[in-house]
Amino acid sequence: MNHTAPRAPASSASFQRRRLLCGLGTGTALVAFGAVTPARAQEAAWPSRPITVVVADGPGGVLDVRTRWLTERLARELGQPVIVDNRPAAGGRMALQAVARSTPDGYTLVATNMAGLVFSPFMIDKLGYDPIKDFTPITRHGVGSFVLVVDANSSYRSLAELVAAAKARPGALSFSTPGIGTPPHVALEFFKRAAAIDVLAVHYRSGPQFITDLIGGQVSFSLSGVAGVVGHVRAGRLRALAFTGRERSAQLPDVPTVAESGYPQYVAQGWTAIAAPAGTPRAVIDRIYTTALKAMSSAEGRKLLADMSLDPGMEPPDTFAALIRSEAAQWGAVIKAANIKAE
Amino acid sequence: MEVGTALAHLALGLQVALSWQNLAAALAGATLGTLIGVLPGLGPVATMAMLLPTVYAMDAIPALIMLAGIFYGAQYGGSTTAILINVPGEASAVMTAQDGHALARQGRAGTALTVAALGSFFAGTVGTLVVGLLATPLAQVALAFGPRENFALLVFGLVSSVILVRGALVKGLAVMVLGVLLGQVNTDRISGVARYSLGLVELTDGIGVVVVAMGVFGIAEVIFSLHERRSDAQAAPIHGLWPTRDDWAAAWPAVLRGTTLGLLLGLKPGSGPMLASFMAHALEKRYPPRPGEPALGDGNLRGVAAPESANNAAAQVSFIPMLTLGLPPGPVMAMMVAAMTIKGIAPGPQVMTANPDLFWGLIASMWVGNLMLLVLNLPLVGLWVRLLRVPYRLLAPAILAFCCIGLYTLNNMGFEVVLGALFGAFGVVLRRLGNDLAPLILGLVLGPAIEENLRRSLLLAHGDWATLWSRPLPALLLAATVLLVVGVACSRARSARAPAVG
Repeated sequence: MNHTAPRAPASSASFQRRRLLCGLGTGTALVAFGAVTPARAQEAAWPSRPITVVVADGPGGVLDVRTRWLTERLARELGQPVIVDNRPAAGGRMALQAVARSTPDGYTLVATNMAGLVFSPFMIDKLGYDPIKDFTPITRHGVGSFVLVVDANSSYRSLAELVAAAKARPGALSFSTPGIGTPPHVALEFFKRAAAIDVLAVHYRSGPQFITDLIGGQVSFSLSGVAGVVGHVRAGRLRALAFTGRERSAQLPDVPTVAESGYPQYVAQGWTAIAAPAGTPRAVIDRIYTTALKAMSSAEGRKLLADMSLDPGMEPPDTFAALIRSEAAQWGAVIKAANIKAE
Repeated sequence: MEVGTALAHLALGLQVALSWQNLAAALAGATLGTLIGVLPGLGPVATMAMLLPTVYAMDAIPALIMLAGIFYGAQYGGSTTAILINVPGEASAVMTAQDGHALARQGRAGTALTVAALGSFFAGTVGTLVVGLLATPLAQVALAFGPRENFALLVFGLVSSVILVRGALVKGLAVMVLGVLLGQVNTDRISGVARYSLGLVELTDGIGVVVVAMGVFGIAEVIFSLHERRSDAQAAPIHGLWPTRDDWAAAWPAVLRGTTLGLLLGLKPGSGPMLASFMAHALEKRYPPRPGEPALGDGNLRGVAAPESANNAAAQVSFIPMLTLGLPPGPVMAMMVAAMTIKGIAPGPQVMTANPDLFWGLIASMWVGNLMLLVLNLPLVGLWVRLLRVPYRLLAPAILAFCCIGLYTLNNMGFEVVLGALFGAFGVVLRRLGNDLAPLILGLVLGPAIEENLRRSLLLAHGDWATLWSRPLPALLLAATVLLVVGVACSRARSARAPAVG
């Protein structure tokens, strides 16, 4: 756990209010005071104490790295420390459970990847939270499509060749994933169905071992975020056959999309997002959203995202909430059809 | 690679590493790493993550130098607590704790710490040279390790570490199997089903190795000491801090053997440093004690020198897959790759050619950092040793408090504090029954990795077991394992018939 110290002074309004509250002293007085304050003034006062962002990922994970940059910016803009609380246990489930049960006052937020808000209810029987009912989504803070890669020595030069080979020998080809129920795994299960092929999934732990074994020739192909493989593609160790975005990737402009390659309906994107417990005041949600949007749209924010091969995906809270529902319908069907279980 | 080019590269690297900015980064990283290494629980990965906001603002080269410094600084610091209070902060320090803490109890903590520091420095120096000269060819070796090879190597490592132990073989094996069984508590990687989690979400990620290590070593040690009322033993007169001529004579060969093992095993993804330290310790046990030398495990200096050199050499070598291939073998290296990505450097083989100053500067800085650590740590030895003069009634609660903080910060879960306490009680019971607990840790770490790699191999071969010996390397390793077991069994059967020697 660590504090990101605010660098800008608190806005004068919240500063004065804090002094007033300090003068009142006890916690009881604080609650009483809050109760009689008109809603508007109360919202204007947020944030008057440190904000905790519970991250459903270990320190240094993809989600953690993205979130820490944003929390530092939020701290600076909001004038309050933002504490990062890593709860990677059980694939991040503990983090989402904890935040679902926390007070919806804007002082506890969660950062999660798409699995926590979209996949989990379909993969886990006793999840302990409801991604739709228990959370007010704020926004996504990084959207990345995947790239389908084969070893450079592989004979497959296009997606069509790979699919043809898989159809010729059902069950013979294999693909590696960074773990069961991870976005690349589910995206490949979706492709298996779109292309009607029978290929074997080989799961690894999170980390790059699944790419190491692809380069080492152990499996036939893999699906990965662009940042993890673009170096290998440029160095000629891996060959990129297709990109799962709507449009081609800026990093790999020569690689056709899956849609271009004959599967027009196929798009798969992974993302990370921040959300608040359901019932958090609307004004607070909006304030976090506009602050995050400002940070991510700054020159530094755009460069950071571009360096990590990501799109910002900073749609407003309502659009994002609708997106979660539509993605749940889409991916839920894939997960049920593939019978993916990840407790 | 031609030697001339290699020297030119190292010269370029030193030029980069010796700039003021980069020296400061290395010093900051090494110091911070030592500090967090001394605090059990707070590991290098969490520290690196906390520093990410700094990394966003720094240039790529000093940022990576600083992060690397945290990593090897933590390796150094981890051995300090292992020796002084028997709390191995990381799995790779478990073996150091065995002889190191025994030495500390004999009043020779200073000697143990000095040997650990010098051994680590030597191993770090050799490791850096190997990384600089052989990184590219060795990277190919890392790629050749698929599921079959990993399975065979891990089985060989697990079996040989346990079987080479002199003394109660059956007990050693039993404790190891217990570790393997504890490792079965997790979520199956292949099917995604939670196993033996007792319905507790907290157990679905498995039982953390640091939780068990801190429980059975750190917490159990405190309980044991209080039980024995060992306050007097702690105050054993402190002998000189600097090793004697005899100490050197014993330690040097062990340092060389440990370093060699570390270099070989460092390429192994994930558990390299830990496996290296276990195997180095096991190897030392095969060398009979010289006259007047205590047995391994009872405070033999070789038992500190070998595993410390091994884990440090392995730690250096584990940079190779990350640097040359952009494929980090563990969470710490993944953190480095994350930092590179943030700075817009796509990790991969092209880093060496596209950013030679970064590549060689980082390698040279590792040696500079190791030297700094030596300079930093040797004067501290005296200070650490004085810590042992603190009465045990004051030290014991402090150790427990540190363990609890460490356990909590692993995953920010109170559950793991409770789990660590349970393993403390468990460790007391096992030790009362006369068991050596190091194989427990080894089994716990390697068991799940062996299972995963075995199942991956079989999955890829569509269930054909012959796949395991279809390639020379795994076949060789498995054959060596079988020979080792048969050989040890035969020699034991023979010595069982003759009057028992030991």
